[in-house]
Amino acid sequence: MKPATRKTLLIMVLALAGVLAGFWTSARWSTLGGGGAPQPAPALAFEDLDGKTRSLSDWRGKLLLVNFWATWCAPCLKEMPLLIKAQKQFGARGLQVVGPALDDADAVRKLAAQLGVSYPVMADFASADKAMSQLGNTSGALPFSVFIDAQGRIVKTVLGGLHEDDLNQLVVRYLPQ
Amino acid sequence: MRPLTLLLCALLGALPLASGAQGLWPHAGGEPALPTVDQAFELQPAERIDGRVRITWLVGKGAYLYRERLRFESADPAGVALPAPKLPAGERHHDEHFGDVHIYRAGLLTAEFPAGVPASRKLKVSYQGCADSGVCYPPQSRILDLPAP
Repeated sequence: MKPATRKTLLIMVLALAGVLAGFWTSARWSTLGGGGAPQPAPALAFEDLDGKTRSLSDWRGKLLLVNFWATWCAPCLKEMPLLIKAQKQFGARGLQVVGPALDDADAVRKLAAQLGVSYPVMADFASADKAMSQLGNTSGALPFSVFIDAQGRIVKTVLGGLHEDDLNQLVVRYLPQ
Repeated sequence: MRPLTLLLCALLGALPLASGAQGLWPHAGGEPALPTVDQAFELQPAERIDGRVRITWLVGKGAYLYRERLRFESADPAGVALPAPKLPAGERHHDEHFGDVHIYRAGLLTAEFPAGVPASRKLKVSYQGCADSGVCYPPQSRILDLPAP
């Protein structure tokens, strides 16, 4: 191989390696990171299982993890034990998980009891569906999680199930100081 | 082939895998682009073939519908009892919460009512499904006009 050809090949190899590294980083941080400046969360409220309206502003000052879910959504049910665990582990340090469901109250009550859900859950299909759209989830798909910091800013949204490592990393990063 | 050329080929081969590992390209919002529910489950206009009413979905790649969540009701006139339509068996699927269910993956899914029924003019069709990427779409209901017999 001529030295010039060898040099060209070497440059191409290095460039491609860089592109691949970029893909890897991008894939990881599309789950973990937050792009752009945090935006203020819209005023959102949902009916709880007793028909009482709960506003997200009730928990201002905490790191809010708003997890939209439903009893018909298998990936939602799969990640709920992680949320229960996170609430237990980080609740004293300022994490508050809340779970508005796109579902009816009876189904939510039954499943929340079965799973031992220890954080507030709501059953308010219309409000939850509208809220998801306001928060950027226009597909209406679940699960959908939104992290709102103590100042009421949206710091991260995740469409799809959370992995434990990513969840813990995000919580620790955004817990109130 | 020289080692450097081999390495270049390997990297070129890995490029589509790397992009595929991410699912879809992230859009401006930072989340992967997800088909809308109507893109994932394209419900076609109802057909009447030799007296049989046929309802068809085109299930998108990476999506699936639950057999157990398909519902068919007469919307006009309301309250008319319908026989169960003929459906493909579907793929057996075990879910830790839902137990043993059946799913329909990418391709055409057809539900067919026997000749002579239903006598309805409109049919309410309900369905629900998910995507392999780990999300589920909310239950959907659509009203379909049935062609005259």
